[in-house]
Amino acid sequence: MKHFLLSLGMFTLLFISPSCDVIDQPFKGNIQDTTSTQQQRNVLIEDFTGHRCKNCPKASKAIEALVDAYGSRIIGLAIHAGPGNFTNTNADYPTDFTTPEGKTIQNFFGTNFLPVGMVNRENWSASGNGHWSPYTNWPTLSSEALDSTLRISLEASATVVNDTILEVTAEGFPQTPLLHDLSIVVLIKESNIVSPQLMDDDTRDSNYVHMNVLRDFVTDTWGTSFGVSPMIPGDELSESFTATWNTSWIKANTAAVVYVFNPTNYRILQAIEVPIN
Amino acid sequence: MRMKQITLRLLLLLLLPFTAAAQESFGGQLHGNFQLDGQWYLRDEGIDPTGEFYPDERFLGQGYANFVYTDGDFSGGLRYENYQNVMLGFPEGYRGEGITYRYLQFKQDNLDVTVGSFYEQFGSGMVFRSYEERGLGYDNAMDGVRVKANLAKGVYLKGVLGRQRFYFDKSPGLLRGLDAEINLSERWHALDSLGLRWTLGASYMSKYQRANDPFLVLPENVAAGGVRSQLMKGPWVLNTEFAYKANDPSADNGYIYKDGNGFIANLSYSKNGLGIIAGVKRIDNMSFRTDRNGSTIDMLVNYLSPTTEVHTYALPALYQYATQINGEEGIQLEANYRFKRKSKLGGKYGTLISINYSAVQSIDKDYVDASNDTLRTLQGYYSDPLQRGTIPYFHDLNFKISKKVNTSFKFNLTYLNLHYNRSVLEDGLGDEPMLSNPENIKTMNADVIVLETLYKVKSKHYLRNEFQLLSTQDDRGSMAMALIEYSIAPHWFFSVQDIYNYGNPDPDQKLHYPLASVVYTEGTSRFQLSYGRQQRGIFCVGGVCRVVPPSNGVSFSLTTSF
Amino acid sequence: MKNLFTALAVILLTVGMQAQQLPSTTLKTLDGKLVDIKDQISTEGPTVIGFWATWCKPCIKELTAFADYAIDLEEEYGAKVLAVSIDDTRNSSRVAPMVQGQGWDYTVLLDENQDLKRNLGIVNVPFTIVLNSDGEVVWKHSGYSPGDEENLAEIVAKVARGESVEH
Repeated sequence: MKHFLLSLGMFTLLFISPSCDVIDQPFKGNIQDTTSTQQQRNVLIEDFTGHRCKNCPKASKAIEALVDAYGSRIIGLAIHAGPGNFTNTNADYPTDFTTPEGKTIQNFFGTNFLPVGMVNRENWSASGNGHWSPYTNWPTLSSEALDSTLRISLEASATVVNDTILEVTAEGFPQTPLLHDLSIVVLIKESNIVSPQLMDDDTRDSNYVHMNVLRDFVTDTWGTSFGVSPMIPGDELSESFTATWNTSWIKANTAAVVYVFNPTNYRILQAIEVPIN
Repeated sequence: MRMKQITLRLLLLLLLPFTAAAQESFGGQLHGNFQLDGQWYLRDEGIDPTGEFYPDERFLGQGYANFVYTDGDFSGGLRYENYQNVMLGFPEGYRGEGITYRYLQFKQDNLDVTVGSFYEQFGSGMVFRSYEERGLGYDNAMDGVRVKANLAKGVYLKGVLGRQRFYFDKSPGLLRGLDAEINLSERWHALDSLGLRWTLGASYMSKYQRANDPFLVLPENVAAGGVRSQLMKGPWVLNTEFAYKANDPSADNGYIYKDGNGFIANLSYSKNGLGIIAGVKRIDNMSFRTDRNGSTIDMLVNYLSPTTEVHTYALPALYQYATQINGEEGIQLEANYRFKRKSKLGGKYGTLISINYSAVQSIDKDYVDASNDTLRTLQGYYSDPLQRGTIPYFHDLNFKISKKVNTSFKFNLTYLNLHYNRSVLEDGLGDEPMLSNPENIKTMNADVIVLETLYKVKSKHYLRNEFQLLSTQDDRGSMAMALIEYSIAPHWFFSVQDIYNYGNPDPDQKLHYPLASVVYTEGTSRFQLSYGRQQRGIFCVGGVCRVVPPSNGVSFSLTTSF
Repeated sequence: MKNLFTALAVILLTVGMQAQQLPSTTLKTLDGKLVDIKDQISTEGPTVIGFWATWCKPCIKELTAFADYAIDLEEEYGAKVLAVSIDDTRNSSRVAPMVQGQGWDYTVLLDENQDLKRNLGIVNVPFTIVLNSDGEVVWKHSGYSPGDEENLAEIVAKVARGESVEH
């Protein structure tokens, strides 16, 4: 009996972790102000969504909560792409928010369900799906990205000329040596679009306000070459782009999103959002 | 002559150590199995008008091979998996190839140690169950260390430590747990002499996952524990188990800090041709994963047994129940009786009748008002275990009669009545919107009849038929199915079936779904070739389901074991 | 010369593939007693071991269809049929009610930890093996189609008579 109890005790100690955290206060205090005069690493959250996807409004809300906390360092992009029963149009949901580039991205990264997102396209690899994240994990992933080192800062300006042509210029300034090529993507998003959306209680909200909707790509889906390895601080990279402007878009609600990424692993090094004049 | 004798003896002497060594090295046994599945998909506008289910690759194939080597007290093995690319309906995370399972195991006397990959279960699995189900693509194998010990007479201890598999990667969280089981009848013979066999068990599992959420203070260590008892006397068996889980805010439960609990009880009686099982179960917030952001079948730590019967007939199998891990309560009653041979109701060969009733519904939930942010997050909802839930999820009442009429003819006749809550089981709607808008709940009620006959044409030639009818006004409407199967034992098997969705409310969808298969079996190898069209459906094992998208094409499957 | 030949023959026999024996494995009876599989097999005639599970419909069909043949084989050849259930501890309490309901006369054993299944490299059920009276595995088959039970009965009869069997 003594031997038995001794072995039991040793065995228990070996395997049981005495900790089990019980939390009384779930909410953390105020978010520390992280803005500063120098540009810091921003976060691009690509939110795959659909107007007939009832769990998707919660994902958009998660982006709004992050924008409230971190301001312009969080850039949300709602890409309407995925299974047809979530993105297709019908009498109740007449607006087609899908774009060919959005579908290409969704197809390539394999996100065949909604809602799901990518935060700065981190952790992509040819096997597995570590680059996907549910919206519940975006706060954690964003806070990790916001704390990381900025490797290249960006500046851009976007203007519509004669109501028909959009001109964008972008400049990049490496902050640390970059030993890989760099590609740049420029796209247009529009917010405050009122259009029906299926909500999580299975009802249709005909006055739902869609934010950060991807409207069109100025560059190709996978961008154009921006810089060639190696690049060092002090270099200046620069490119200009033009695209046709669609007059149905409300300029005041639109923004140009510019991001640079590593073409071998798709990791986004920096993203910025600029208003369109 | 002398020379020859010396040479002979020398030869024997030289070869003798060889013989001994060969016996030792041949002492172990190598076993394994291999499976390869593939499908060429054909574009079918009837079932898939937009082409969204039609894969770009056109051909999808996957395979795996298992090897197990045992030699006395030692065993080791590995599994290699390959997805190029994963077939439609299987989890998308299976991309690529590699060795996903490898272990070494040593057993001696009362100790059993495994290092590497292993599967394990504590009790019924409410606290911990690591298992694989290849048909579902379910595999939450542990990678770490497991120690099993028989410490004293009738006392069995298990300890596990490790991380779970997440496709070709590992879970972000880690697990450590302990399970103890005491067979009281082995320790106290007084019980044994009363004819009682009583086993008690207790289990504990704790997970750790780093938390870095800027808004919420998340618990990094979450523990769950359970106690269980099994009591057997003569034809009676009583199993009970209770589990408790501490605060575990996760994507599954909407990040609430409410604790979770589960209760299962089963009573069975089996004697004289009669078998009866009665079960009751209640689960409240028992989703437990090694990644709080996990979803679908990824990285589940525990397993909640279903109280529903699995149907293998094609039409009822379209409407199967998937366990709702966030909360459900259910009962199941099952009775099987065999009328003896030569009795009045039994006929010459005996008759078997079965009846099964399962019903599952929501648990009582009183949601905290959304305006009270803190309490809403801390508590989420209140649930009274003594109050019945008000939203039915599923019920299944079925009768079956099985009879061998003569040496060449047998039949099974089954009737089912199903109630299937589509809002919960197809759309994944939560209880809160259903409680506030009960009129919006989409349900499906169906009556199903299945007649299965087996006719012996001649020695080793058998003809099996199935006729199924599913009658309903909901979802896709009524369907009928017919199947003809001809087998020539032991090698050949041919089958042709068709499902006709004649009751579909959309006239374009009143389609036929034909399917033809040929199977060749030799020993432990089996090759199957099928061609046909499959409608969307679900495939479930043990209450865990995956959605099968509609497809059309030629598929093959090769399995062998050695 | 004769001696050399005999010596070589002896060596070849021992070096050659050892016929597969069942590994010593502990199983449970329906009464909850622990037994070793090696003590359960027949010593006078062949043994059939059918691996099944309560959730495996083809397994139940196979065992029900074979029931009639089993009775004859037991009488005629001293054969023994063991129905080994691979249901884990969660489902093993359903085994007895199911056996009663199906009306089987088989010796039913529980392989709750699936040790015997794993040691023999079995992955899918139904899986059937036939052992000769020396306890060596001489025939294996996986899956079940109607008519397989007839074939199995023939195989058992052949093994009992000492004839060799092919897959």
